[in-house]
Amino acid sequence: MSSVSSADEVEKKQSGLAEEQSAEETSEIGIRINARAVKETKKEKSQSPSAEGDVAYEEELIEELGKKYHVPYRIVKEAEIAVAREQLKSFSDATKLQYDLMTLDPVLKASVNYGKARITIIYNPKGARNLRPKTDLQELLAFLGQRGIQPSSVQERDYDYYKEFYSYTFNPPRIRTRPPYGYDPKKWEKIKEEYEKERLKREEEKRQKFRQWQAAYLERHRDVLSKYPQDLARRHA
Amino acid sequence: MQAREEEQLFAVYHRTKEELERMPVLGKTQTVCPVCKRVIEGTIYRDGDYVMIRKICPEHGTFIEKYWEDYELYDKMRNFQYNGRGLENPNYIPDTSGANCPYDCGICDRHLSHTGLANVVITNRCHLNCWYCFFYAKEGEPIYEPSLDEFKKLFANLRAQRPIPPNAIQLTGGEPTMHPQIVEIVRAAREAGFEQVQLNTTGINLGLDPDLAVRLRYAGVNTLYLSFDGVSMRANPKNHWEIPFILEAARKAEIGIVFVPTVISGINDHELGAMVNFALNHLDVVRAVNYQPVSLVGRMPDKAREQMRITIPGMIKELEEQTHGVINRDHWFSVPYTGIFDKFLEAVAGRYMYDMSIHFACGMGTYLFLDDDKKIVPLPEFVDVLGIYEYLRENYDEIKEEGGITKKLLGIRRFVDEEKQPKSVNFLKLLTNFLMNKDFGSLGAIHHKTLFLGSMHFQDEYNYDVQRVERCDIHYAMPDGEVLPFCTFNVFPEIYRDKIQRQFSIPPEVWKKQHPDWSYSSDKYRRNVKLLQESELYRKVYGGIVDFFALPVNGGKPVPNAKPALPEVQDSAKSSEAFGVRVSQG
Repeated sequence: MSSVSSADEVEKKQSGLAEEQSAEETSEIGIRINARAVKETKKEKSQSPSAEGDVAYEEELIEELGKKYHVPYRIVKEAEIAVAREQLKSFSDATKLQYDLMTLDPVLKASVNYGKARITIIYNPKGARNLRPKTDLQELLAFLGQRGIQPSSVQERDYDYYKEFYSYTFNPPRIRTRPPYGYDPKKWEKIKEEYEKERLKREEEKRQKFRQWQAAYLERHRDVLSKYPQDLARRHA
Repeated sequence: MQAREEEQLFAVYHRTKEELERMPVLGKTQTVCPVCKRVIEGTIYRDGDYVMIRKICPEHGTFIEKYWEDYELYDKMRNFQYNGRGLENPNYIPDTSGANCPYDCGICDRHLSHTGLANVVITNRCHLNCWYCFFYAKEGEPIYEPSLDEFKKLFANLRAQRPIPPNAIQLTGGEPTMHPQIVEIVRAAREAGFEQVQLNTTGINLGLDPDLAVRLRYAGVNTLYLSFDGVSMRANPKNHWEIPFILEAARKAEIGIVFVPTVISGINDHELGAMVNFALNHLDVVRAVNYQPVSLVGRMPDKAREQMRITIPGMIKELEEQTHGVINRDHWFSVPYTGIFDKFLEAVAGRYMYDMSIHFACGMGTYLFLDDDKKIVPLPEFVDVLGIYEYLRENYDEIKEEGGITKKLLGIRRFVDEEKQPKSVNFLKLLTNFLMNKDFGSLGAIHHKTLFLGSMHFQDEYNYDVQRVERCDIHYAMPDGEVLPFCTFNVFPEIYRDKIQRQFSIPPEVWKKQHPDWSYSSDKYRRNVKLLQESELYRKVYGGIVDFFALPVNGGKPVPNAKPALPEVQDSAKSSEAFGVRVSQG
């Protein structure tokens, strides 16, 4: 099956689609739903970038300590879906389901926990103020339904992408200690602080060494570097 | 290739079920179905000289792929495997604690190696259109090009990793030199504490603008990780014509070069020896050749895949053949071999060392010395590499105790054959300095007198092994704060690389508004073949190649394709255009 023929098939079958699809066709369904999301995205993008719900690209920027960073999502949704374990069939099927969920553009993160019979999906909901592809819980449940999964319970909540995800991944806490080889954790705990100070000192020494190297390099290549005062001026930025 | 050899080469793909069941099983792992991507069990087994992997998807049937093309080497190298320590502060904790690897990435708490080499994508714009590359912005696609402040944030995130913050970074793309602030980005990487800054590049922009090379070196670039697929224009239509200029620019700027050939069976594997020879011709500036057997990501016809597939041992065997045994398979060691040195140094020094705890099948390497009399001397010819490993392992407990080190280090002398070592190098002194100073910095002295040969084989869906990816130490820093191993980032772009970067990309309309004079086609390189090829430098570099392997001191047998005939300008133009690089006139 080439990717081209699948895409064609997707387009042809788009209109009728979805809920009526039988469970036997599950391998195709993920692609169809994904294609629908893509189609919606195209429609959105065909409008002016600032037109979608009055969202402009600039609104996706967030300010931290006076610097701007691109953070495409703010408040999105997290759905925690409990299912009967048999519906996930096997560990292997659970991984496939997780993979398929992750291929959906509006899904930011997905996890299918076979042991705990739990599906967690973080997704970009319809109506969210951003330019990115969106979906809703009904569509996601329909997607699961096409795989024979009927949730026993669904809990949905607002998920602050910036605070709960982005800020975590950029500042993850230590969850364990891994001492150097030959050191047990207790012994290491006593000298860790001192080690960290030493490490920072060594790093600063290395920076100094690099600056000294730069000064010597500048002497050797002044003919070239003098043409680029901006490179020299920002040397110690 | 002889018909019989060819038959053997492909026969391993076409065994019957009964034949497969008779093959000795070497191990079990988890892998993925190349079609539906479900995680399934993989069986690693021996088929004659080869190590293979097979798997059965309940929906899509059986898949067989070469894992390593040399059983003996596999058997020897697997002994070096060990588990690293991962991160104390993993960036993502999935609900499954990594059980669904490789779909729980971020990097998760299951991962076993710290970031050894951090990769950061600078831009998805590229000046070339290589047919096999999926990662550059095509017409109408969004542009991924973070700002300087965003890069600073990514660098800080990487450097915050504990217990071992990465000190090596590779800036990649697209073509990283297309970012207008590339000099500032390099400077920011240095300021963040990265001591080794590599630029993964075609080199074309540096060859044509040598000032840029100087500016980048001054800002902190140590190494060009340079795409180099062969010596001849047929093997290397990407940058064959610019290579002489790139070498010259790097020489003037004092930047070291690592040649990075993507090795594809039947396309450029006939020039493996020629590439080493070419590197030896420029040893003043070329530090390494790092072969990368092709990773066949994405669906492709079975026959094409079988023909293109080559693994690390396959590459090593071809290199041995082409260099008439001067560089042979016994000279190569798997990367985790170095783990014993890390353990030893940490225990003695009481501080963290770089842990090279990747999977043994992911990478191998060796060192060559080019002596004053032009003799090529691979390091294992005068160092008992295995002997040192065993010695350190057996004496680890004693050495790490106070005072044990000096006495025991004297014992290492017996593993170096001073008679055989190159006349220009006192290796024993270098090794002792390295171990006594407890610092990899001492190895710098070795690097400048040698050529490092390495090989990294990145995975694809066919040979995927979760035990490999969970040990990966080449990690991509993502704009959403996640950190991804190379072989999740690139093998599943639809859920990692492309998906996340698209989320953080700038829509084309916005990009065009910000850059009114820009278009997709204006980014593309036009090659002036005539000017390049008729230059004195081009003729000097390709016309003056010395075949070191043909010298009597090295056995007097030339390596194939060492000196390609200088092509006609017309043929060059055709070759360039066939590859997708337009040719300009005049």
